[in-house]
Amino acid sequence: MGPLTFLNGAFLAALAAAALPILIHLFSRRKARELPFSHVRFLDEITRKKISRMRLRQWLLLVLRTLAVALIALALSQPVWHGPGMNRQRGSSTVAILIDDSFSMEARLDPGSLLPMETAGSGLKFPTRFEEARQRALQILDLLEDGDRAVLVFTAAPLRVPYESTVRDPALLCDELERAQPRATRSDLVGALERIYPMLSSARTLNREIFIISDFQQTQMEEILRSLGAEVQGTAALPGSGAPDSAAQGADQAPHGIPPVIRALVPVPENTRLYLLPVTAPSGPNTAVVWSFFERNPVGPGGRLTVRLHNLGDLPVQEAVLEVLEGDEERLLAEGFVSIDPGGTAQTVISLSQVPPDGLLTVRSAPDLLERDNRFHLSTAAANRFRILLVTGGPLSEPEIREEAAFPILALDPWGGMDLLDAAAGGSGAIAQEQMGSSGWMRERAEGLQLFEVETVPESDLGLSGELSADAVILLNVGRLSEAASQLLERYQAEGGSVLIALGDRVDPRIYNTQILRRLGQVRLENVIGDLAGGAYFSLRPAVTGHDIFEGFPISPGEMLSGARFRKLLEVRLGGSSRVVAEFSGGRPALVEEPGLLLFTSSLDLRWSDFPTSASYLPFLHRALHHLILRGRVGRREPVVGEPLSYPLPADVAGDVFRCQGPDGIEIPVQVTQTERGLLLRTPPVPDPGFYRIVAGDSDRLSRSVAVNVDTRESDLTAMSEDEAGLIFGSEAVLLTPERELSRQVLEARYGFELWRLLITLAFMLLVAESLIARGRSIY
Amino acid sequence: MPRKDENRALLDPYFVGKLRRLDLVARLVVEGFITGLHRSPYHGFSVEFAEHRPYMPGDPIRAVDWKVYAKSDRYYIKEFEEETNLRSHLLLDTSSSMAYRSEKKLLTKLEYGIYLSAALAYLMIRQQDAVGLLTFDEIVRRFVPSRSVGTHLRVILGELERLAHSPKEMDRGRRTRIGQSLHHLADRLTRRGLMILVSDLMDQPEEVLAGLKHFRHRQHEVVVFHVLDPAEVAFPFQEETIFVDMETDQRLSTIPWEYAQEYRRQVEHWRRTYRRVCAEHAIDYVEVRTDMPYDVALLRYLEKRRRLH
Repeated sequence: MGPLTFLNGAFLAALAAAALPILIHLFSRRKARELPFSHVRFLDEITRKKISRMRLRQWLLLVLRTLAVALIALALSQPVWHGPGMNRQRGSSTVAILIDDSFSMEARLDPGSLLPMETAGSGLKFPTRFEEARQRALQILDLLEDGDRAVLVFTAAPLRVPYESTVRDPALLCDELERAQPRATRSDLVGALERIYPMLSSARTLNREIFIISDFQQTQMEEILRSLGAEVQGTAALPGSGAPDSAAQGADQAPHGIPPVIRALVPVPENTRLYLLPVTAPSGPNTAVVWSFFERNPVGPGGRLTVRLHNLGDLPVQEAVLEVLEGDEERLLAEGFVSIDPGGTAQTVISLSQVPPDGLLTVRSAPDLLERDNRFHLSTAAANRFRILLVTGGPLSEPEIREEAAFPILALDPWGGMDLLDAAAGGSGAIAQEQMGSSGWMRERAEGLQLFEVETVPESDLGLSGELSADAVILLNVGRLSEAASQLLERYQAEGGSVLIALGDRVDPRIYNTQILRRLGQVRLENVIGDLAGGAYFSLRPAVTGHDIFEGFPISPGEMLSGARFRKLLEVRLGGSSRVVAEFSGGRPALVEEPGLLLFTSSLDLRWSDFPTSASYLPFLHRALHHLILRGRVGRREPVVGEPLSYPLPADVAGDVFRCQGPDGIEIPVQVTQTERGLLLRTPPVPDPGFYRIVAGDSDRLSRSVAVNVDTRESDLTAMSEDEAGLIFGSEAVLLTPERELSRQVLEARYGFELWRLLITLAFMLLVAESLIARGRSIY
Repeated sequence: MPRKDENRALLDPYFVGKLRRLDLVARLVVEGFITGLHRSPYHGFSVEFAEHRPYMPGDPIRAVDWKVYAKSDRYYIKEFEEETNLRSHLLLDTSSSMAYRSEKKLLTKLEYGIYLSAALAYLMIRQQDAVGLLTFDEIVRRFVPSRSVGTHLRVILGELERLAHSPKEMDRGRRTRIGQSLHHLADRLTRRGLMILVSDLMDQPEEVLAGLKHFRHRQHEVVVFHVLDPAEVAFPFQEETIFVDMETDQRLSTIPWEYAQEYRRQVEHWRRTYRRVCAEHAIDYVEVRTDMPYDVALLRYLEKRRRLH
């Protein structure tokens, strides 16, 4: 900021009005008319005598008028002088305080914190980041003086703004701060800045300030970059990463020797000072339970619980205890142990001899810096299965499509799949029930054990849905995909989704490589090999010994996986990240693994092989999807805090009234709407983690239990570096660390002198002088 | 006979300016003027004594000066000057500057001067005075010698009428050389009489005054009617104007409101100079403006006439 700034810069254009007196002068000169006069002798003499004085006076009047107009225009633009000599002037301020109340702010600080330690019970308890943030916010409010205005925004989603416009009384905001507690959601900093933008833009005070008090998590920065979209894609290469263009993306041209000004990527109004107040602490132990999955024992009462943890701290975790708790009372059901390296992820399996009747489990890890992510809730209810979206080459109503899709559908979801195929063939969709008897007990029991449920969509309809919610997507002999569908898959994969590709006659390697594989991986299709002379065929065998997919297969190293005979397949060109998991005889890749992708180079129906009728088909498909899903970054299987719950309802409950009960008995309003796909139950964003029970109101019959967890992307307490903060918030943002005295820094910047009064006075004086000088005319 | 207020209307320059016939104008002006006067001007005419000569047989007895006979015991006859009235000359300035008028409803200075001269001529002839007319600008343009016969009036009015209807191009470029013209006239008119100058005197005051003094030197009586347009005195112009001199065509761009005060001061000084110097030399100086009734001028003439007799 230079020594002179303008609060209302748009009015600088009015300076052009200063040309008016000159224009009037020139215009009026042209109007002089000729007039015969009896004699000009006297006028001639006067001219000789007075002309120089008159000209001087005319010029003086012109200068005075021009200056007066210019000064008025300048005054309207409200200039402020910050230069020397103004140290005792203090301008009015509009202050926006954005305080991060996401759950990462619950992390405890170390003893080096600003706040005094308080003792709680027998042990020492250190203040949390939020408590320190609150203290800093109170300090800022304390700096306000009469005439200043302030607004407070809690940035956890959904944003909480106690007063929708700026308030004069800081005490109101202090009360709000005292009452506030961190919430279980993530921070929405961009949304908060967008919210205050109009308030600050319209403020006509000398100072406009934004204070962001946050732990400035690095994950937050990634989120901001993603939310700002494609225009800043290049800036993901951060300063220090060696990318030469990264700084230039948001930088103004600057002469040599002067560091370029990097504009803020987030929306900050002009002439607004941005202060960043990081509330961070040295890292400590911090693990987060990011995911858990329960597989029922097919033959016994219990099952096994897979739990995945991240160690987000910088110390290794050795044999940390994991507790599995039952229901709301949190009775201990089982224990497990886990060791994780710093920054690593570990997965452990805990065997449960029984599961509670309501199927509600909570996994709890050892206490650490951040408590809230040490718990993971899950419901082991029947509906808790992997959802597979099967993309077919056409609608299932076509016999050819139905024929090739039937094998994977029935292998993954025999009961539901049978209904699906029957309905597609024009039947009643109740074959299974008829075959298994009217009671359906067998189906009920079998479905309880089922791991997958399958939904199908023709390739042409894939692009129509805005978001994919399945745990994995299978592209089954798909010929081509629309641009929208390809982008959707790419986004899905980038967000942690998994894709299994199986080939077939419809596949054109050239189209596949350019449309689909280009977006999803590095492996590329080449030639079709098939129909070997003399009825020769290819066999399938593992290429990696002991791979997760082949767990449970009773085969020795080098042995064929099954007796299946493959007549046709596609050759592939492997990419850098490709790994061949299974191969055909002759060393040709059969199953290629890449992050978020499995490519099976032959088909999954009977056209190219007899694989579907072999004994290994079903376990191979199950294990491959199991591996794909469990290895993926699937963290959004269960809903997270801050999102609405949304579930389809069966048609026969249309008349029922539904209620949603959250943790601690809180009631969540529900809305049932009729959509194209049937009834849909929807709640507003849920505020807390825990179990939500959706109940049919009239009979209190439990309809469904939903486990809601925190978004563990918030668990990573790593703060962004100064460079990274500079990239996001611009190079003019001021970093106010606890070591730097806040009041001195802030108050110094507020000094300045609003010049408009002075300019108006000057303009008035000039006009008075002008009228005095011009008065000669009226006297004459 | 017109009533008194109607008589005043007859003296209004604007009113009489609308009449086409100059003789009618002159008559109306003078009759209107005279009717308005309280005192009649028709008295006081005397016969001037010339010389005595010895009685000759045949001379009328009543012509014998008995007083001289009583003193000298001789018969002398008392002889008188011929019984004519005052000999006057109207000197009318016809330079271009006289064509100026500031408003359409006013007469030009020249028109005003013509009507005034006509009225004066009419009045003089009625008083048995001899009257002559001389028009001039840089040079003497026309000269009508003075006579007192009634028919002479028609000659003078005819001359003035011709002047009143002279082409418009005469309005430009004819400069005033009053001083020079006056000197010329003073040399030519040897018989003393009354010189009536009708002019805007737009010449160097020293030269004009020198010319007037020359007349005085020749024993003439002099009356100066200084004809001015009201705008020449008040200078009421407000807009930026380029003034074009009607005599010299000189152009001068001015901001009138800046000039007005100084202009008025200078014009006042100029007029005062004329007034003062004329008074010093027993010259009657009468300032008339083109919006003034004629009676002011006529009255000043009659006053002068009375003083002379």
